[in-house]
Amino acid sequence: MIDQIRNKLNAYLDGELNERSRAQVEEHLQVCADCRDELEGLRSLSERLQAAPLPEFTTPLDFKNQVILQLPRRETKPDQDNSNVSFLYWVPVFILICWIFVQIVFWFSGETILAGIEPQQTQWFAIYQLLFGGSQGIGNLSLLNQIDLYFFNFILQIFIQAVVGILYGAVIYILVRNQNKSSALINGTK
Amino acid sequence: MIGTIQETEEKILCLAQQGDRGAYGELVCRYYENVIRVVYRLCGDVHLSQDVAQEAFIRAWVKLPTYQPKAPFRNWLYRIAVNLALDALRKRPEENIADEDEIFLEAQGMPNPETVYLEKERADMMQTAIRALPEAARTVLVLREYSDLSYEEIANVLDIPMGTVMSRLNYARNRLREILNISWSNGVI
Repeated sequence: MIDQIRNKLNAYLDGELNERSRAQVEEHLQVCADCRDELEGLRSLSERLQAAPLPEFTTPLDFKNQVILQLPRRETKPDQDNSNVSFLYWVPVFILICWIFVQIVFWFSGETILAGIEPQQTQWFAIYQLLFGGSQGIGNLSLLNQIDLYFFNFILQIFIQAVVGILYGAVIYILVRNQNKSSALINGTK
Repeated sequence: MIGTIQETEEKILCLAQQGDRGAYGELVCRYYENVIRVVYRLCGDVHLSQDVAQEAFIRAWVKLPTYQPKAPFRNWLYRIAVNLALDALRKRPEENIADEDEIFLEAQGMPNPETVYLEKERADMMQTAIRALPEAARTVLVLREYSDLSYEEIANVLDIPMGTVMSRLNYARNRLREILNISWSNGVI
């Protein structure tokens, strides 16, 4: 019992005991002179520790000035920049997907979105018509001509989109590289 | 009133996190004395303590964007300062710790040279006794006596269980009393 109480004397002195334990210790202290002496010894030690004088240090103001002079530059938050960049990278992909979707919808509806600006017949069909006229077996060949035209237009558009995408990517790459260079210069890492 | 002070500190912290050096200077001024007191009691050397405190504030500045106000800023700062102080002590051999003769006590209120000398002797002996404690026990004792942290906060700062804080503190105080009683019986304190 006395050992249990002695173990709690430090916590009692520091005000770290709960109400029940504190009451228990106080009750014991009233009847135990050894524990009272022990507590007094601990209290005296704590007071002497607190009262021990400190040497003279630099004043807070001087210290602050010294610290401020030595503070390094902070790096910018990379996460935020990366999120913007990755968003930009996804833009051409999104446009391409939209374009393919629109083309497919128009194809199923029998229309073509690019009608009017693209040739209505392939070169081989034009030559065929020129040589043999427009009567013999024209029905099947006309269908082939339409399919060929469609794939030609489709591949042409994909090609155009790819070129635009590459150009777009190149612009983003140059912008990002310049941004990294300037931030590295600011941070003094290069 | 306390709420206003806390609110102001939150604003200063927020500004400092965004890179405002003036705001951080305010924090340095505010916590310098707390930090230097703890670090000096751990190291026992004025110059080493000031170097460690400076390094602690610089490191805190660098890490400030990652600081999350789950624990008070002061406790976070103590954690950095204590770790740096212990590292510095491990790197530096004991004999290189400055002789206490270099220490100039605050002379305010002690105009009598004899009083100054006695006070200095007392301070030296206390500091020597603290330094004689094992590192783990000394750290807990110093945080308790010189930083006003609760047991729970000390446990968080040092990443140890609260039971360990209590047992180390018990050990440190008992050991310190033994050392100081010897000094006392020799007429030093």
